[in-house]
Amino acid sequence: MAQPIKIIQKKELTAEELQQQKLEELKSLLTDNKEALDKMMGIAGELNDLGVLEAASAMLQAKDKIAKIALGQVTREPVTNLVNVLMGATGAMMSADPKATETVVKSSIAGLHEANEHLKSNKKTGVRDFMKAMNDPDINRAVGFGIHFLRGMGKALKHEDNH
Amino acid sequence: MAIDTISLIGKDGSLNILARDTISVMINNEKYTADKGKTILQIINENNIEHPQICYVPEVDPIQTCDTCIVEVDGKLVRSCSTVAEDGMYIDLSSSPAQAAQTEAMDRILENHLLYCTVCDNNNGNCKLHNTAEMMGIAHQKYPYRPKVTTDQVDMSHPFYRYDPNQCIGCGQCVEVCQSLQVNETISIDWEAEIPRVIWDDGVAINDSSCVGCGQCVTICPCNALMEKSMLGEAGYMTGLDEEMLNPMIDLVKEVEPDYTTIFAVSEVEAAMRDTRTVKTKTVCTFCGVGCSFEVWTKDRKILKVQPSHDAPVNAISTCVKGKFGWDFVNSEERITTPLIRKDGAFVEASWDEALDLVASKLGGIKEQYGKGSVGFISSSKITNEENYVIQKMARQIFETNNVDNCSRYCQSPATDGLFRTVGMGGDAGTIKDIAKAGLVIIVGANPAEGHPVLATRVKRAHKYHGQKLIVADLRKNEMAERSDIFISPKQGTDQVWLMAVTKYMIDQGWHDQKFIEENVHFFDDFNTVLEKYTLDYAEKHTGIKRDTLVEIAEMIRDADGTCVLWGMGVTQNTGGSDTSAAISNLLLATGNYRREGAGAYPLRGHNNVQGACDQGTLPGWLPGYQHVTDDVARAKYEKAYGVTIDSTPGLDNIQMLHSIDEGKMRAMYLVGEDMALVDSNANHVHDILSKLDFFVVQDIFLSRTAQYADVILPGVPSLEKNGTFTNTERRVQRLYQALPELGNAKQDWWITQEIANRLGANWSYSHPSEIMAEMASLSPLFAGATYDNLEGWNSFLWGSHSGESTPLLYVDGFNFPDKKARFALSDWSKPVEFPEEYDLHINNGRMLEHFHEGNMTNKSKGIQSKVPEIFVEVSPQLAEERGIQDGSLVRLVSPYGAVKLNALVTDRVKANELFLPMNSVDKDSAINFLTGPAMDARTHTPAYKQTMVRMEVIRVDGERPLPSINHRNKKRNPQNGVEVERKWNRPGYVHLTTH
Repeated sequence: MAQPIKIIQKKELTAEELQQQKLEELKSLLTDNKEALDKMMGIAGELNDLGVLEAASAMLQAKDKIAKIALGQVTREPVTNLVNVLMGATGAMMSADPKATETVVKSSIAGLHEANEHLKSNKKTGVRDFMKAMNDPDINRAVGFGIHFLRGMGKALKHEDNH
Repeated sequence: MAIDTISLIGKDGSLNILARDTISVMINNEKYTADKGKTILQIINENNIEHPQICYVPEVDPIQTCDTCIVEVDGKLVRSCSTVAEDGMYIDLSSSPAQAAQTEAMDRILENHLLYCTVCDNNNGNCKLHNTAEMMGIAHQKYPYRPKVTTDQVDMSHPFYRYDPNQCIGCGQCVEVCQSLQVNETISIDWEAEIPRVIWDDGVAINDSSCVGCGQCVTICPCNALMEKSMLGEAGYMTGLDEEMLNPMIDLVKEVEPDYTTIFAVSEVEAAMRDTRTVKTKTVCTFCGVGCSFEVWTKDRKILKVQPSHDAPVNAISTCVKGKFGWDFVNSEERITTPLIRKDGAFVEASWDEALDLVASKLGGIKEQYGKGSVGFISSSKITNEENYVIQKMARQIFETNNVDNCSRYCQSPATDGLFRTVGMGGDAGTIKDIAKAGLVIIVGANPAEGHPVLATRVKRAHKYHGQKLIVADLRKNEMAERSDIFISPKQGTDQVWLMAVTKYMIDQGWHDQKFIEENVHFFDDFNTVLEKYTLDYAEKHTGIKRDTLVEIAEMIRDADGTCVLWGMGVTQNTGGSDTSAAISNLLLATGNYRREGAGAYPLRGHNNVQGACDQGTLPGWLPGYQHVTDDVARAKYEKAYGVTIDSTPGLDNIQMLHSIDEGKMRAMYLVGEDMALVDSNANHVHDILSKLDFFVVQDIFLSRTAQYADVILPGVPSLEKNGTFTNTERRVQRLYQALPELGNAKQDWWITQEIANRLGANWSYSHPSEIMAEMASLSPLFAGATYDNLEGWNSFLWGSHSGESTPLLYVDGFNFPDKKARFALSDWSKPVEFPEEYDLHINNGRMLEHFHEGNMTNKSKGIQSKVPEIFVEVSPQLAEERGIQDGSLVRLVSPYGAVKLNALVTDRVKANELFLPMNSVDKDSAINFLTGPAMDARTHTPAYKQTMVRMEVIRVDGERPLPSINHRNKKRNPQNGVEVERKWNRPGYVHLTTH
């Protein structure tokens, strides 16, 4: 009569047998991946010579502390503001027409150059000179640019207000 | 509008040529043709046009809460999900007004949700909210995010899922599937709240609600508001960080207010990384015969979640609590992972060679010594078709015996017998879609809301929304009975009487289908003679059902556009189980309810592959593909393939095998994946029998009660560790793919059988289950089309045609007899077993939603155990009062065959002297089969488990209620008409985005 039984005798491996089993597994892993392991050892050796491994090891051990410090820093208001400003500015720049921007930037540089020359001359500018200058087509173009720039900016500001 | 024909090749490979009404519409200046009656969104999706649709769920009616699908039609803005396309319509998906409306709709949604995708566990490439916002090019949100509740109000109470209101976009998909697809009616949206949010029942914690844990709400949630707890902290690379780290990261994302495109880009990189680690494998559920398929997501051996798909042919997005969450058993420490050999009163671990050599030499030796019938084989309804096939092959080829059976003997054989006798095939007449389509569903002796939950949802939905009528005949007032139009409780074992009386009454009234009978059915006159005594008065006398009620039932069948009858163990596990099954089929034949959609006979197969086990010939009288061993032509085919002579006499079934062991003829047994010691009736007797075997091999994943009697235990693997196929209750064959490697040293069940066979000279060389299926299909015309290629992915195959084509609806070309005509079965009702007077209480048994069968898989789930921690006996309030017992009273139940001892649960689900004992017990003190007796169905030998009487002794009156307060059975549902979006539109200040 086979009586029902619930006892299971597990084959318990001795510490030596377990160690041997793991060594066998490791051995086949090593032989299967020899080429990759050679390369890895080479890289690891060079990193060690440079002291990188030691630093990396220390950082890994302190990973939680470091991550908290880093997060604490980047979530401070000045930093988030900076990120927002950078992202906003980048976004705005990205939406501008690159050709037009190039023209404006080149023109500004030329203007700066001319203005610098004027500063060097130490000449005084009177009201008459100003009125006369408006007839100069180059100056007129620049003033017109400024007026239309201000108009466009004003419109955009109004639009933002409505939001 | 035009009428043309279409050729539809279904997922299952079936070819349908139909006439259809079509219309033409213009979408974004391109012409599209579509079936009449389709919504604009359906046409958009059919043509793979990209278009936002956050709240669209194809399985339910349009939800209309999100407004992201708005389009411009002839100058008006309309929701494409709820607007039926008309011929000549001009539809613009991306006009300025349409786009503005879509964007505004999305802005309103994003006001409720924080997009911290990279550190969100739902960022797996399938987040609907993420993908839609990205598709729409949403860069910023117009309305700033506002939380609805404080973070401590995130609902973590349920064992399997959580709800975070602060991430909830209020789209209502969870509500719609709960109210209208699962029809559990728990979830709603409190539209009148200051900020609307999802609530459970009237606003209680999830775990205190009527939620059954089916998980459909979690599956359908388009974001991370509802999440499987198993995913939290596990799915992402950075989501497992502790809160101290995670919260500042989320805050950082909030503070820097990046353009969403940046968030999407980063999160997509992370999602792509996840994709390399999370493995998604399609499988078929192991917990019942409905045949739900879904993907299981794994990370190493951890099961992250079960993810159903709209592509799944049976269940689509539906699951039950077991299929969605009940898989802990797969990684249970109780799994057997090494072969075990009985030695000196203990099981000792052994190598495979040692165990297999022993099994082969012992079984082979016993066959040599005692002859061909001395070894018996019991196969499993849980293992695959391929594994069943090789077991029957080993029995017939190596051991030259037909002594092979499976657990359908304990449940479904009478239903199969009733169908074979009347219509010629032992399978459901149609599919789950036919059940949903029927004008009337009659459920007899079954509780699909608990035993076949996803199938039941289709009935509940059709009944709630589509005018389907429902009649339930059961001893116990289960959920389907509560929902029914007519609920009857005939006296135990009398279903055949009322079925025959209703049939006779309908014929007498001329409500039968004379033309159908003349064209399709034999023996009508003989049948009328048999029916003569089954008058309404006779039925009332024997069943206790009033004649007016029987007339009402007859009228409902008469008036219905198609009747489906669903039945289960309440019918089959009786002395007249086969005859009652035949009576059901007779009623359907008499009323013309075969050979058409939305009608027919539907025995509800209980286990995931009980249909397949029978299909594959693990039956004493049938070769694979329902070719009888007495059929010389079929047998010759198998003899040629197997190279042996096959006995032309049917072998022994389960019950007969036990008798044979008792008589000393059968000396050894090979049993796979069945807990016979618990599930056979009269368990005390089974104990004696199993102890008598000279040699007993059990192949299982756990040390089951049956395995405890074994001489050798061979560790097989569960479904998630297998490739193969299962066949569901619809006759649908579906593939499952291996999701996890075999645990420990456990092996594929087909491999184990092959190793034993080969040690006995078989020389089999299967290297993959597909090769086994190919061999089976080559020998079984019914399965000729069931190739692995045809079954790839979500595809499936329904057997039913001798030319091997997929056949969703049986008998379209006539019934399965040589002359294509069905036969009325001519059987009288026989009275149920009588017990001595002292056994004054009838004890019924059945499944609970949370547990599968005897529970040895589902009882490994901590979450399920928290809902149903112990077994109990249900006692009616009347009986409780009469005997002075209350919830938690300890009672002893004594039958002529044994006794159990357990706590009482007082409930009006049972009445008067009826008791109900759930069958999910592996404990001798509470398992039903320590009470059941030897009575059986005369034709199939299925035990008459349901015909058991006991007496009750009260051991202790006071005690704790055995069903915890958090169980859904203690709660009240909150039915609504879906999400009730009109209440949203009626909110003060609501601005419509469509044209009014």
